[in-house]
Amino acid sequence: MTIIEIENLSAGYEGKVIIEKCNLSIQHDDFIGIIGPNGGGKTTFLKALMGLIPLRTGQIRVFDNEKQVPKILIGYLPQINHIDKKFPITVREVVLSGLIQTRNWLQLPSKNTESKLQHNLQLLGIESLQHKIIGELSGGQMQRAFLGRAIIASPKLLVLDEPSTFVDSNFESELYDILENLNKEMAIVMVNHDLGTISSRVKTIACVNRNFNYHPSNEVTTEMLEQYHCPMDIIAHGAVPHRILHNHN
Amino acid sequence: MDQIIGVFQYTFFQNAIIASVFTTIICGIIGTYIVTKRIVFITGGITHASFGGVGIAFYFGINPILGAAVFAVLSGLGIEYMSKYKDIREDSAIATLWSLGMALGIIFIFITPGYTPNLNSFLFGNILTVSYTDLYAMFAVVLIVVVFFALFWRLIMYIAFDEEFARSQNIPVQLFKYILVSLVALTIVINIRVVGIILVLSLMTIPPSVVNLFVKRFEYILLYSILVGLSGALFGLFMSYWLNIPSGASIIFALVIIFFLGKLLSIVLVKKKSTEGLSGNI
Ligand SMILES: Nc1ncnc2c1ncn2[C@@H]1O[C@H](COP(=O)(O)OP(=O)(O)OP(=O)(O)O)[C@@H](O)[C@H]1O
Ligand SMILES: [Mg+2]
Repeated sequence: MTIIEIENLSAGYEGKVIIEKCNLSIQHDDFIGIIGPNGGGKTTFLKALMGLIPLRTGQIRVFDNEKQVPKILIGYLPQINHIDKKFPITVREVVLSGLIQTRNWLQLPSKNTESKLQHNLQLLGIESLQHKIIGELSGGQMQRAFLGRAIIASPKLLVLDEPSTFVDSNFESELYDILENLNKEMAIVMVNHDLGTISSRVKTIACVNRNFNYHPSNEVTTEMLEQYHCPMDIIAHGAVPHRILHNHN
Repeated sequence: MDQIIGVFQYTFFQNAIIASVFTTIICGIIGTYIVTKRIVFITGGITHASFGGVGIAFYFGINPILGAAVFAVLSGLGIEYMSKYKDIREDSAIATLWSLGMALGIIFIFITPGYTPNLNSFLFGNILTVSYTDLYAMFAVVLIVVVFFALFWRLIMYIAFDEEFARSQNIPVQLFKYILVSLVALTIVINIRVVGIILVLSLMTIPPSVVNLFVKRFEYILLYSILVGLSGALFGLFMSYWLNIPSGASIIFALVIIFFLGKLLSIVLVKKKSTEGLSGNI
């Protein structure tokens, strides 16, 4: 079942086109890994997909149960680096802000939101940190909190921009188990530099380097690497299945 | 002691105290927003731009505070509108607005024929001369600010913390920002009579900065900033009366003293905590 249909999309900033000719249709059970070099336009693509930056051409159609709708619930984990680490907000509130759309417009607390919150914090192992200020957390803990914020509303589409940044290898495999579970209920689009993870955990792959190329399998080929000049980490994770790929030079 | 009680009999002093209360409520709330959102510099730009409005209003014989209000709101909305398209860290653009406002103000006041107004009252304010009209206007702003923040503080906090995420969740972020920047502009204008254009910024920034030394939650900073501001304003007000010095300056001076005392206390507390930690380990 299609939830999002992207047609001939191009987008950029201040008159500069960053990505063009994107065509993609996202199914309700997709798990798409996005790879590409730094500055290739991965984050830009995600922002265009969510309507955070205006499209220069093309269109995005959104569907719910085969019917076209103006919007669906989207969970978003931004690439870490754009938040103010000194901002006076607790971990609790950060995660709760993921319910911003589904709560009443005054954002008053309720039994229901509280139990959702506690379940979510438990899942991510950050219960004991909930009253801390977000900036006091380590990078990995912060990433968990932001993941919590992204998934707490049970969105139809989960958009993750490099979710494993700062996360230790223990939690990383736990993270992908969590994502695998979530994938039963929502589509996932994930940017990741770690090719080992991409090919073992995602279902399909898209390469973004100014243009957009979708590969309907999770096999990372040498040709893809060459075409997209992807200087990416290849990390082997103990028990996690992975492929070692050729260097491309 | 008689002197303390005696001064309360004067209407101007009663008005000044009421004005202090109103002012610190407004500034505590809006100040917390601009400090945590890190738009102090933008607020400075709006403040000084409003002086242009004062000058032009004088020239055309309109109420100068009205002129300031129009200029402040328009420059605030303008900056917000621009930042929709560009990341507004455009320091130099804001600095230009800053001095342009002052320049326009001076020029128009200079070319106003006849009587030259006393600029000091706009630059430094005088809380001891606030009128009932001023008080009513302040009360209206208090109501608007308090109601808006009481209803929406969570949304305001979420948007200030991570605007992009809020936008990804279909929150009308731009609308909130326009409303908030208008409230910032109103806050500035309403305080011109109290502490003046030059000093109003610190009336907003010092209380939350002091509170933030000890408290790290948005909603508590909002509340405690009002209390800190009020102590500074009252302390300054009495100083001004007894020492016969300008009230705006003495209020800001009192706030700066509170800031340094707070800083000192926070350093002592940190030291104490770390030595406790050490002895605990031994
Ligand atoms: N807000 C912005 N304004 C102007 N240009 C931008 C902005 N954000 C990104 N760019 C430019 O767009 C290009 C693509 O950036 P983008 O963040 O999409 O890359 P990316 O593939 O996500 O890179 P990374 O792997 O480093 O996260 C870069 O050249 C960058 O300089
Ligand atoms: Mg990126």
